[in-house]
Amino acid sequence: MYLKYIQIINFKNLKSARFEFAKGANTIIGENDSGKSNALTAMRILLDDSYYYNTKRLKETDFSYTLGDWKGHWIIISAFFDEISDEDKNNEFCVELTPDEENASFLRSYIRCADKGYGTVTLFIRPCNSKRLELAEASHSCRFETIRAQIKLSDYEFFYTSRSQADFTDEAVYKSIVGDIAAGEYANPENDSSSVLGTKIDIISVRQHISTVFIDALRDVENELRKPKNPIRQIIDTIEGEIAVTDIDDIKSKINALNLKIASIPQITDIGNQVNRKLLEMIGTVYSPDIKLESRMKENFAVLARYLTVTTSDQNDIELLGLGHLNILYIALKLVEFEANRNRELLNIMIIEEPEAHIHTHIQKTLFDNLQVAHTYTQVVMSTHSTHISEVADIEKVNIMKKVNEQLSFVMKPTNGLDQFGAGILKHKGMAFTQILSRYLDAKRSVLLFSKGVILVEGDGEEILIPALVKNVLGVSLDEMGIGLINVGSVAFENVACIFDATRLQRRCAIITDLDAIVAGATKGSQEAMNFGAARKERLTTLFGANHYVEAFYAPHTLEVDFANIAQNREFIYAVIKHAYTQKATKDKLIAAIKSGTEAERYDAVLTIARNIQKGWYATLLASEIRANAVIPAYILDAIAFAAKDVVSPKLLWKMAKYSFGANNDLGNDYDYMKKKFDEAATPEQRTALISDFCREFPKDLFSAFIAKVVD
Amino acid sequence: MPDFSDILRGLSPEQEAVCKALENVLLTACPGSGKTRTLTRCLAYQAAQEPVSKKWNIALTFTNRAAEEITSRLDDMGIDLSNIWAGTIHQFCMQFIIRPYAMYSGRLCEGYSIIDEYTQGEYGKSIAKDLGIKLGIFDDPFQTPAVVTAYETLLAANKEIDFEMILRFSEELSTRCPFVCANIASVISSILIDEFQDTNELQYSILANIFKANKSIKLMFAGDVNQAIYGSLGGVAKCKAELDTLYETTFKELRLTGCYRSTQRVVNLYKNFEVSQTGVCSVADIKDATGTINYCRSVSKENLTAEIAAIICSELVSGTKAEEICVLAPQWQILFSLSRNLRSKLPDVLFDAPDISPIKYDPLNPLFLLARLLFMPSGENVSIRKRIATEFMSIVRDGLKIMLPDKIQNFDILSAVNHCRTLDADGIVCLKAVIERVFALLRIDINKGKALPSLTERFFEKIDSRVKQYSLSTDYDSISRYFRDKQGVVISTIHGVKGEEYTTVIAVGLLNGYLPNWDFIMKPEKKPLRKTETLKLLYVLCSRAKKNLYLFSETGRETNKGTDYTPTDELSLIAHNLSLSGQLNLKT
Repeated sequence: MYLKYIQIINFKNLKSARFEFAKGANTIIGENDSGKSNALTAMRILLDDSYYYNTKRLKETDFSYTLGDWKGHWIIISAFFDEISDEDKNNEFCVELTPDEENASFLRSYIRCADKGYGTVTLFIRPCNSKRLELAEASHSCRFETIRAQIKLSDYEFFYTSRSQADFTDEAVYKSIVGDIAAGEYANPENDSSSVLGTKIDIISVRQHISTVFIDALRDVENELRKPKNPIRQIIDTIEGEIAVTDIDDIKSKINALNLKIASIPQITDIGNQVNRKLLEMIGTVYSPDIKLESRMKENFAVLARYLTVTTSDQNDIELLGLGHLNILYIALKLVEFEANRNRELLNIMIIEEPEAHIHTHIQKTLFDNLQVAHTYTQVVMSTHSTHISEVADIEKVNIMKKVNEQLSFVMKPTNGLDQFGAGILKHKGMAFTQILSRYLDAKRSVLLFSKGVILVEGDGEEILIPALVKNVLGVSLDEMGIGLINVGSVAFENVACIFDATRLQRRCAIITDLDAIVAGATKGSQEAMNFGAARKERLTTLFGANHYVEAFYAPHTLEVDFANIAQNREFIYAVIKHAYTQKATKDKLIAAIKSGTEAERYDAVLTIARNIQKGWYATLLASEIRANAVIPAYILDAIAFAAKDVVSPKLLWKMAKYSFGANNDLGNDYDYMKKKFDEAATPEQRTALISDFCREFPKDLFSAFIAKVVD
Repeated sequence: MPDFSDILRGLSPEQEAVCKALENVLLTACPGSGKTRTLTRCLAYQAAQEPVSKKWNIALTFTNRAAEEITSRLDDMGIDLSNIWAGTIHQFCMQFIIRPYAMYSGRLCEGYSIIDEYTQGEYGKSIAKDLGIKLGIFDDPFQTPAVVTAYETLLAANKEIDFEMILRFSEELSTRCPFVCANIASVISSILIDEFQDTNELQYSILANIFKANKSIKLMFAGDVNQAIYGSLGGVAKCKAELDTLYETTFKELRLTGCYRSTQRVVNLYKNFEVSQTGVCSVADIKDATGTINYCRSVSKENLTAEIAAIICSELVSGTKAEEICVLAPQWQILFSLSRNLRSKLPDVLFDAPDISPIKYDPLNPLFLLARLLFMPSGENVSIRKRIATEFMSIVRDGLKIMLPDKIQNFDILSAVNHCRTLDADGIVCLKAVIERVFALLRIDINKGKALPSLTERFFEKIDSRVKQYSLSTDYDSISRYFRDKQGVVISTIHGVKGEEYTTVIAVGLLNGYLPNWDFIMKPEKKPLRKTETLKLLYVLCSRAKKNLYLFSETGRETNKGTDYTPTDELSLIAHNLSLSGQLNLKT
């Protein structure tokens, strides 16, 4: 049995989110404030019996920020467990009764909703019946908003059910059970259907059979280890019963002996005698009790356990350990505690918040690898913004959170429906497509998962030259823009691009590839490459024509040729030629062909250079020559603009505008007024206005072209 | 927690064998053979097999009282009740099937409430009236198919179900959704069915569905075919072969034949009425006592009261306790006037008569629970009172779906109830005050919504109707009498004393038309059952007695047509034979 889905509706910045988990270790990846903690909190509200959350703790800010007025809305948290059934065992005539199997039977009987063996548990945080009835009766009347305004948090109830199979992320389902509040309409509670909401249950009975442990993002481990509820004490509490009687007896007798020894120290006996003497003096023999001093060190093990602490074997004080080690130590203790407390073979869920906090990167990887091999009955869900953890994470076990704005985030599952796409559309045979992809992506994964936009290229040339062009011409790097550039190393773009889809990663993916058309009269081109180029375009159009998240951009010929076809760029090529060739005759011949030859001669010359010094090396040399006045070929600029559409911020544009304006050194005095404006613009409005002025004034500047494409 | 030897202590070898049987058992238990005792020990024994197991050991009884009897006996034995469940089949279906799985029934998923027999009757009458069907006082409107159809439609529209539907929907769910049975069956360790002879087909089928989902459940059907007097309610006593087929398993037949209750003389008498031979034989301490067995056919209806009063007095004088004397009749109508007359004739004797309480027993109704709290003695049985208050709150919360304030506890409810106890001399006024006060405490507006106002209205309507129909007093003291433990000479129908025993049993109205009922004499479909029905009733009646049995076929009762009722045929036959052997004293 394992937790397969969590649905979260209207909770904090999660308006409508569905997380999908697999057995073993899962990660939730997301930038800061994207709602990772909110997701973990929601899981704990539903499943963790040590997390206290009820009507009294409910806050207005717990409702989705995008609801506007939360009043009347419901928060819904639902968990779906799969593979909860093992029919065969159950039907055996004389089933051996073990507590574990019995636990399984009880849990199943509470939550199972079908023969197939899955079960659900759902929490509805909703207004109580009487309030809902009032709202329903006032539907479509002027009193609706008045009544709604009177709803208080204390009118909300926590309603737990099992067996609900509704998809609450479906707006229509939500409206059918809650009503259409915006339209002044509320569902009548008398018509609540348990076929949608499920059967009311006592959540405690479910939590008794699923253990959930939460390890929070650590801020002060040292302090944590000194608290009375620290993991060591918790572990001792659990295992106390297993300590051998002989050991306990031994300790008891030693403590008794110690007590006697202390009491028999002459100085201590003496105190007793002194007290007795004083008493005699004060009240006389008849009334005075006989006093002696005793040591009463407790022999109770639970009390003794208080003195246990963690230390290093070389006797260094724990305080001397680095923060990173302390954290690792804490997690290790938590894991031992988890193992000690875990009494349900059925399902143990460990929720870890940002294990990377303070932990050295290489330890992060190891930790994750080791968590993965946790036992089959343990499922780990951890949130992270560490690229190191996501690098080792299996792509199938990753949920990515996308922040739309401060109020709203949503969840994306990179592999959602991917196997079907691989088998059905790409016609992959054999291994599940997700698995192939997972292996293929090993190295590039974090770029893919963390970038806000992606550009796929086919070779080293693009991988090296494009970032240099962007940085030098537009004044910001691709990294700053949040755009990841991935060299696919071939033209099999579809294998990677298919992750970007409305049902999977909702991020833009631009494909840059060559059409490899041969210029008429040229001799260096390959007819075969040209044919492939045309076929590729057709294939990509078929595959992604309808996918708004993927678009292909084609170099008419090849990167090197199309770059050289722009006159302003040629000076950089001459510089490369001067560096790369030793013989003057060759240098002159090549430069001449590029400078004043026919298009076919230029084509052949560029391809010759690229072949002579290898495309990658050529690109590297070229990249080091490029200056701000270089011109980015139109198809590349289009691709960047496409990938950047969702990521450009006013701040970024401002930086680019300033850079572009500053790069124009030959403006003369005509533009001093503008220079002054650039120096003085401080408010966002002033800056936006200035950017518009700039674009109007310099329509041919690449930044102007870029902004036109991004904004369109 | 007692161990196995504690659990089995004091059982006869027969009884011990039943507890220890590993197979599924079909148990025939003769009258007075210690069936309840054996079943109680069986449950305890079963639960003790797996002391750490939380799986349910279930006892299904015919009445709430029998279930309470079993639980309280287990409690007295010091048995941990956490994995034992005892209740009626209706309660079982509600808890294990309807509440958890109503969502899978189109008819129930949008909510349901349960109506009692009174409401059912009222619906029937009003539907018949609407349909223009004329009914006599004793006619059952549900005999008309059109009424049944309209009734079903009405209930569906009101989201209501009656008692029979609890079984019907349970059967339907358990048949249609196999995983429902798998879920339930996986958490049950044993099921024990008491009075199986009164079990109806739906109940057999529900249990079979559950059992077939987990055949490691241990089953036991216990009862006595000779006492199957609920045939009119659909009770069917299945034989071993039928059970084997239905449950796809093999039942082992066991018997409890030793009667600890009656003298051999009484046993010999009721053996005459067996429809299935059991081999019952007295093992009672008093087995050789003679006692009195008397059959009288000469007393007239008018003199009956005096005759019975004389018997009661002489029994009391000879030291028999009032509670050990029971006056029986086949029908309530005879008993109402008889009990009134006996009370005026013997003003010093207490009678536990078939009083009609203004408030009918209905533990599923939260308002009834408040009434019970109001009218039962306070200060005693505090733990029961707290349990009732808790039950009240959970019905309001889960059944009526009204949110309760967190801080209100069961004792707050009790103190609110107690506050109203002396408000007024009239019990109904007090009850209304209690309801108002308790709901105010829970911050619930009793007039809001649909369910609660209609529940309240119907509750008081019903009280009103009973008060008027039977001319009952509503003052606080008279109502609270019904909620006290009963004392005195018992007056009841034969059906009402099933499972009970008395030193002295006095039975009247043993006349064709009463015993058996006219239906078995007149109605073609029931005619063939006349003999067995009569025998079973006589069997139950006679086997209640430990020692003394006074039977009356009084004269002077006339049918509507003016002809005299005649003594029950089967009794006449036996009486004649027995009088010759001298065992029955015929009074001429």
